[in-house]
Amino acid sequence: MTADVPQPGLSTPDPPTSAPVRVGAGPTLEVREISKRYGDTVALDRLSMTVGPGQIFGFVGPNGAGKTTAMRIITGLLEADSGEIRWADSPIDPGQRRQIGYMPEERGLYPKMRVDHQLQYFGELHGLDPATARDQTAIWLDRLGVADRALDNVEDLSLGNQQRIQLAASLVFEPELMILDEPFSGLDPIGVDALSGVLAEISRERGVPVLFSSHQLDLVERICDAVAIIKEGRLIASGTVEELEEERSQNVWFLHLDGPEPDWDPGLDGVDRIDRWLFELDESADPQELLTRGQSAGDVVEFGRHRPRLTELFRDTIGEER
Amino acid sequence: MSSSRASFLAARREIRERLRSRAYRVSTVIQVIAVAAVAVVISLTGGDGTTKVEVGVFAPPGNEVVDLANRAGATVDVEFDARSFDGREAARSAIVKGDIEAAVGRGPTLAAGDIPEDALAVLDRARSTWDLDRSLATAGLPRSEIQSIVATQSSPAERVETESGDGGGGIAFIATLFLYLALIFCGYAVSSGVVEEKSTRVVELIINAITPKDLLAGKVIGIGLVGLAQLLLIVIAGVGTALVLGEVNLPASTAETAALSLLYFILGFALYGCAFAVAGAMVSRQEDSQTTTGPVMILLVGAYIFSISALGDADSGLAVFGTLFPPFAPLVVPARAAAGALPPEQLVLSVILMVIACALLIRLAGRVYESAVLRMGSPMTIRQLVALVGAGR
Repeated sequence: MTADVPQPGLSTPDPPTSAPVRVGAGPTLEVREISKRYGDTVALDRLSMTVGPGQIFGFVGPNGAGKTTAMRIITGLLEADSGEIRWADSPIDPGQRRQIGYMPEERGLYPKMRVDHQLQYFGELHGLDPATARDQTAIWLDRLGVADRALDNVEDLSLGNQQRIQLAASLVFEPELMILDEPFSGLDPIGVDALSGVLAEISRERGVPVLFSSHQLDLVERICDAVAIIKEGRLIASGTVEELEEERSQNVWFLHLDGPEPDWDPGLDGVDRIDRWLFELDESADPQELLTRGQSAGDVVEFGRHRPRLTELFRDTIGEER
Repeated sequence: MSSSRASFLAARREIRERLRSRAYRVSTVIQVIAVAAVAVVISLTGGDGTTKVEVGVFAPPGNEVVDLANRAGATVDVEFDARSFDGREAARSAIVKGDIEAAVGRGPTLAAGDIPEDALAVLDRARSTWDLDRSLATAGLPRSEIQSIVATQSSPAERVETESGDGGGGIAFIATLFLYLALIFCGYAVSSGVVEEKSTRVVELIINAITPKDLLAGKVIGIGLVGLAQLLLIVIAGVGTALVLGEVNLPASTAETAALSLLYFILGFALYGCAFAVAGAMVSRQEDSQTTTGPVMILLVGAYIFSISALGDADSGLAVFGTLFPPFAPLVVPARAAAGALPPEQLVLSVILMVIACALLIRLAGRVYESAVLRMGSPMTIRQLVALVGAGR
């Protein structure tokens, strides 16, 4: 890892040995070796990751991997057994935690309270004066396309609209850091686009780091600058999506041929056929030889290095730990 | 943000949401109508404009005095019914039992503590008129002089305390009932509000912004103020109806009862509001809340039973215990005060004990609430609670 290239995520589960590299302006969130046990169950085991300013950071892992626990520790709802949460290069304090826009997994709104009153309330709780809270409420309701529901009770809204209000509640006080637990679950594609659009905007506009967990890996791949994959409380892989894909794709090549039998094999040393058109090469093998063999077996439709999708990465990394 | 600003915001939200809720409006209207109706019924049964007074006659010149009183009383709508008794003591015990309101015969007139003042005045005047008339006539004074002397004299009656104090029994019953209802409604509002915040996870967003103690304080204060306003409305509706109809002779202790009821609602709700908040914080789902609010409810029902028994015998040891035992005092004290049987030194001691109990419980509730409010899952046991608070989080 070189110092001049921005590397906000860590590519190995090892704890960081140097200060996080800053990307752009604004503070960085650093999770440093946090551990948490519930009785005999280890929920988090020395988890470390770094979310840089303006970065959209996807947090993925199987159910029960410790994502929610980690997020609750960042927001201060839970205390870690060890390790620390750092913000702007020093341990986070309660005042800074108050500036976290948090969206809990099981959502949190008063069902019988009016949408506008609710958002104003959260704005004022986070220190806005009443007039600013009203203005911000109007701005966010408008921006999320739910301005016409301002006077309704939350319980009378559709699930998608409730989710928009939930997001508005975490944005209304202009947070400096966003922690969102499964913000996209249960949303239709239009809702997903609206929410991800807003997240992209606030991270770009104000340099707010956004950390969110999701099971929708294609979505994470599409909108995230960086991801962390965790399993059983431990970091399995972390880095930008490109980095991770690069890292895992080094020796796998894609060769699509028109002509040969389905079980065609190039018969080269150091080349393993791992799928119909996928070949894994070891250091001694030359991809050009693979191409030459292919050309003699049929017409080459497509040839190139295979970059696995995040979904495959996820399956691979989780699988190989098993 | 300052702690008081945070509590203020939480309290304002409770007040605004409570006032918006249909349940609150309906219960307020029903209670106001109920108490006004009670006042109307009392005034209707209290007489059709004429005050009727049962007077015991135990010796001459009782009957003559009652006749005189009826002649004078007709102008002020007071009517006296004479009943014969065998001797002064028999008449006195009838007054104590509440069968009659006054007795005349040889010696000073006897009058119940709660006899209407205008009726007693008429009876007194009749008695002194008869006495003077007789003695002056014996002395041979002319009729005209007798009249003028009689007009300046009076012989006051001896007041006899009745068993039910000065007639505040009805007021005491009503005050106790509405206080009990107010504490239950508001207490339940606190516990269900706490559970709602937990079950919807809203509490996780709020605790992200303000401390659990500020949230607890705001919630109890907000709901308490709304309850106090409701109680004030009920008092105004009851007393106001009685005054407008003008036919009810409110006992002298009414104002004191109303003031004490409001004071003890504040103290009682500080106590019960915190207890209900802790009970709510111990569960995560509305369905489970009865398991933890149950014990608090039992205390409150106990307080009500004690206050009813204190109405029966306001000086009993149980009544004194109820006055000095903070969980019972909020209902027992106003009941005894209304019945006119609360010694001032017991009231002062009761207030001091209440304030101490509130201070201790508020502090304890703050710690318990803080430890329990973010915990999800099955209802907590007392043992878990103690362990959690002991760990100091």
